[in-house]
Amino acid sequence: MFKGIANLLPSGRRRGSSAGGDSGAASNAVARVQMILANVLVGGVIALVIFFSMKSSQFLTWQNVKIIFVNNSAMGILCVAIAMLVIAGYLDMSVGSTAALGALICSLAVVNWHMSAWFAIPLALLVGAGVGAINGTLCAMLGLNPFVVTLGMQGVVRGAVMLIHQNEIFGLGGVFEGIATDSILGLPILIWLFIVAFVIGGVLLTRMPAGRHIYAIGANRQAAFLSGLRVRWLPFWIFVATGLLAATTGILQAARLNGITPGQHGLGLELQVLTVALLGGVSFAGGRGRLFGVFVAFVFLAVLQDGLVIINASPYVQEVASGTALVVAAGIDVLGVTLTARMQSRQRTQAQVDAAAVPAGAVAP
Amino acid sequence: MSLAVRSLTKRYGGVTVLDHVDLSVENGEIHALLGANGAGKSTLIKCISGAVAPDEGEIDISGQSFRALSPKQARAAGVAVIYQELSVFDTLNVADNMFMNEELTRFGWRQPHKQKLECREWLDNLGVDIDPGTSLGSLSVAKMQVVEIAKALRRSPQVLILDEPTSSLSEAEVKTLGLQMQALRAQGLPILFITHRMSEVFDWADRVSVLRAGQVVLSGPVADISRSQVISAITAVEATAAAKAEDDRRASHGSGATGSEALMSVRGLLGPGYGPIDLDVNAHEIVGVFGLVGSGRTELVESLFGAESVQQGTVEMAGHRVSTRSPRDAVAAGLALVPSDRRKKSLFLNLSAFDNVLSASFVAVARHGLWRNKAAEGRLFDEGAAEINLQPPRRKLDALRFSGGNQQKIVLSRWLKHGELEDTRVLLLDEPTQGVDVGARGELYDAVRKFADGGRGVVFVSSEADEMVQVADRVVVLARGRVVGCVQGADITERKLMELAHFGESEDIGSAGLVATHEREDSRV
Repeated sequence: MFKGIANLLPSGRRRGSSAGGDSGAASNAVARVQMILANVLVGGVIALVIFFSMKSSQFLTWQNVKIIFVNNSAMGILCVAIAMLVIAGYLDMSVGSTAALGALICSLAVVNWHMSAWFAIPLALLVGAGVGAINGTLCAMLGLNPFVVTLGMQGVVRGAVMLIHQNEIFGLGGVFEGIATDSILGLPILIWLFIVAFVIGGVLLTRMPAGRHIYAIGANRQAAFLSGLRVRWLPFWIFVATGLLAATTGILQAARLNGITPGQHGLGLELQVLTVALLGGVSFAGGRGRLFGVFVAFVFLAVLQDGLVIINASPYVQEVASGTALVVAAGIDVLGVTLTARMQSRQRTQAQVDAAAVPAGAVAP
Repeated sequence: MSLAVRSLTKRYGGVTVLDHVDLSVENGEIHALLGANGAGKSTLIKCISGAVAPDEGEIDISGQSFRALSPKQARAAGVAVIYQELSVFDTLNVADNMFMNEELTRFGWRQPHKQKLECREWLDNLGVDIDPGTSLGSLSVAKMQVVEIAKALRRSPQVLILDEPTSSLSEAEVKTLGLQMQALRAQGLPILFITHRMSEVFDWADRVSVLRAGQVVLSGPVADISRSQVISAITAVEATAAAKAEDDRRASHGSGATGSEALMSVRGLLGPGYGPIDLDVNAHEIVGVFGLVGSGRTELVESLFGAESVQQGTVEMAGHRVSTRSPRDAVAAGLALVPSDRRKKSLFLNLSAFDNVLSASFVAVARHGLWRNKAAEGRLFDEGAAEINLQPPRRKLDALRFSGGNQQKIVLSRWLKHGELEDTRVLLLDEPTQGVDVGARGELYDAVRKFADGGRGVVFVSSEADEMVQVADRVVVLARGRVVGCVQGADITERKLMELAHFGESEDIGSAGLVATHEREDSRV
């Protein structure tokens, strides 16, 4: 096994030319293996597109591409915040309930309290941010376990939603209809919002110092603290952003349905977005992941869902397929780590052999 | 004058860790600091870097005088410390690590390209070829260290302190680091570095100081000091205490086992950080494995136990070759390991003392290997606790509530009792007395001796020479992952072990006059 993997690499690159310790060549090899593994999903998307195009002529049309994105962009917006949260080493299991709360407040405000949509929407967003602030205070500021806390908050918020209003609300009115169906410059508003979310997230993560700090906190919290980073406030604000975007997702989904069913709205959303983030290569342990990967994972799952509908496959096939993809992704991740560890252990042994000046033939190459 | 420490004193409780220490490092000077474990080296560095406040004395940095520093003040004054345990961000790239929280920005935007350029410049100056875009986790420890040094240099430090920078480096890497330090000295930077490798002191340093029991016992220009003076300064203990310990040992155990069949024999064992190594362990024998930090001692025992990868070589138990592929195989073959770092590797901190002791023996004690036998379990625990004098001998107390010494007793008891039930033939102990007080040490030694007297073998790994003198029948000295000497019976003295280990760490083994008197083993012991 060990030999087999080593032989995959070009022989000239297997070992540093200087005696002992030069990890350059081998780490390049490691980097290349990791690079290939990181982009497996892009190949997956291409394969899916080719497969579905061959099965159905409707698949690769502009109309259908728009549908693929419009159907999922509300959820996709939230993936940006979740990805950041997981990169920073945290987690939010309450976003589904927060989405429901945001959508409910918005719907109630418009339908029952007869408020203008332009008051209702900010009000709902504020409530979502408030839930995020509670999560942030408990997890980021006070250091409680984020899984446990947000799992609790999932119940608290969902319960609150049902206490406030149990019955369906329909007929949100023109503004919401417009958000759900209108286009600007040929692109639906929903897709614009999705693009804006990813661009802002991407710029923050890659172009601003705070982005690096998010990675640093997730990678090594103690080292981040000792580097003088804001290891409490930064995650706090990501929690707030997550709550805000969860409410946004809830409102957009309500707009598309022109109403909400409080018991059903946003159910399972937290697992959906977590699946996208993890499939996209965000490390559950924190400190690693790219928004581009998350985008690719989003496209992969959206294409899968749409394609299976077009070829009339059972909807359960989609669950099996996306679940399988996640398991395979976990396997690929471990493969990368194992390969790296083996190569490094091999190098240290080689350094030991070189130092001992044992004749080269004494050790298997 | 760039760094000076005057009459620095630090006490913890009643113990004086630093006792009126005077030390100075001039501009453009490399000052080597040596000393045995617990001599006060780390405390001294902590005082200078602001992590610990000294009780007396003062610290001068570039003419500014401080009674005590906060970490922030120390950094502002220009103290840069490269610790042995690097604190880095594995998943980020080299440039991002270097500029963490000191990012180059324009109008609030990061400038990754500019950072990479500047990063490359710093790394080029240090003469290493590292791509600023590679992730830090894929670099070797040596290169991570260089990145840390480059990061420190960017802050234009007034003094650079390196805490055992070479302990985890290969020989080629050590050479490179040496050249880098020389270059920094040429630029006028004062450098204080802690090491235990004699060759580095004499190749690189201008001045050398030796700490022992919190006091500077030797200090001066390297040119005026011989290697044997340094060794003497490090090792000298009250002669009477050492002699007494030796007498005790000889009186109680005679000359150890000779001529008996080897219980375990290791041939040509090779893996990351150690080897090739040959080693025999006989019945009734405690074999000491002595080595300094980074000598490969932990790697060796963990590999014997199947916890680390073995690339080559064989391990035989009583003439039968055994697998070293997993700890489970090793236990089945009759090995047991008490690892170093009990909190991380061996204790279940939140379980009771009872569960901790029994964890390796539940199956052996159970009826038909299936149903728990609580009475027998209880007897086993009580026996074990009595043998090693566990204090308090309470079954239900959580392991984390015991003192360090008693935690170690719990771990030891686990394998001693397991050993009796399952016929463990060789017990591997890795630094079993780390953080254990003197009284408990004696009890641990006695328990280990009793175990060996029952016809079993013990491999006792330690970095403390006086401990070897007290417990071992035979000591194998490791340096750079290889056996550099073997000392038996009455020849085991603290001084001899330190000589072998320190000189073994340097390349010119044998050329130093002192070592030439020992015949060098052909690595078979």
